[in-house]
Amino acid sequence: MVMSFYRAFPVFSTAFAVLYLLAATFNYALFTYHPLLHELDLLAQPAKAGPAMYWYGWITTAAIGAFVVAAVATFVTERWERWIQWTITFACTYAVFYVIANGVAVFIYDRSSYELEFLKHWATPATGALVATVIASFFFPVRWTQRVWSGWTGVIPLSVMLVFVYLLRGWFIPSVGLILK
Amino acid sequence: MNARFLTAIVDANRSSRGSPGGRDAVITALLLIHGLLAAALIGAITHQLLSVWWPPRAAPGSFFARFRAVNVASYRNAIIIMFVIETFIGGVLLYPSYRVSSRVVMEQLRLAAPVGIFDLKEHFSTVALGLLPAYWYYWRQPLSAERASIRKFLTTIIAFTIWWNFLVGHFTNNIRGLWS
Repeated sequence: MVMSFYRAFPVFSTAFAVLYLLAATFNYALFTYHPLLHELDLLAQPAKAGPAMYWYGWITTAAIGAFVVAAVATFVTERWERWIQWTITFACTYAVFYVIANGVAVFIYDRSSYELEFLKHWATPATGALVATVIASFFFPVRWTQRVWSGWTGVIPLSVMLVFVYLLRGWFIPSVGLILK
Repeated sequence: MNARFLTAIVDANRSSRGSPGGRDAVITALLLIHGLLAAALIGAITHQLLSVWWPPRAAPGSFFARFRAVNVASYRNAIIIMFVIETFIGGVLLYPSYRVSSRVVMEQLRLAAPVGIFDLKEHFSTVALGLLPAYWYYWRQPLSAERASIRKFLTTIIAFTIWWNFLVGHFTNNIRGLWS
């Protein structure tokens, strides 16, 4: 067995970070709390009187998902280790390429004198990143894909935190602009 | 100008609660406990952070060397318990009060940056809360030398989150007086 019972702990932490990001971004809340009414509704519901709080629902969704992933990980056999490491490496490389491709697409779109609408479509950077990742995967060093790297436990949650900074940039950019003025 | 508007935050806090006496006192008491626990948590995690990044090599002489030379592995459970209690007090008991009163007013006053950094506090806390099982696992005794790097990495992320939460929490709590 690759994963003992104790090795499920880092798997839970890593999966929790990713699932929480997905839950918060796409509002996959298991329940919604209405603090003024002191009411709980199942799944994500719109605000009634006062604001609706989804945070508890996101945490619950992520925790249940991460628990399932960690439970499955305890049963994974040694022969799968290389593929797990390869898949995580591929996914992380894809994420980096997607950010780059999206940035390049927006840059070209903003400066183009023609209306290049396809550059604003989500599929353009997604496809570009996929092609780049498939090409890059042929050049992954062997030591990157032999054993599951424990560093993912830190790298993935840290990346999730940086993604949150990016997602919330709208709150800061006006203030930064004012300070720079 | 800002200070005059910011008094609305406190007024909104008061008006949103039914009985001003009892509930206000509970919220204030919880905020105090939250702040005190945060100070204890900061002390413990900073001991651990400095010891993993700057381990003492000889017999400690200076204050800073002694600060780093404590047995930081034994802090693991205390840090986890304090972090969970802090998140419970802040997230479950205090957060709804912030959400229905202070945040609404801050949004109306277009105090975008304070709202944004508080949202980051919420997300960083959650990610760090999820990291606690891994943190517990990598700080298990006997400490493995080959896992020193990941131990250092996780401790740094959690320490950063605790410091961020502490500073942002105080900033938001005291925002009314900052520009007066």
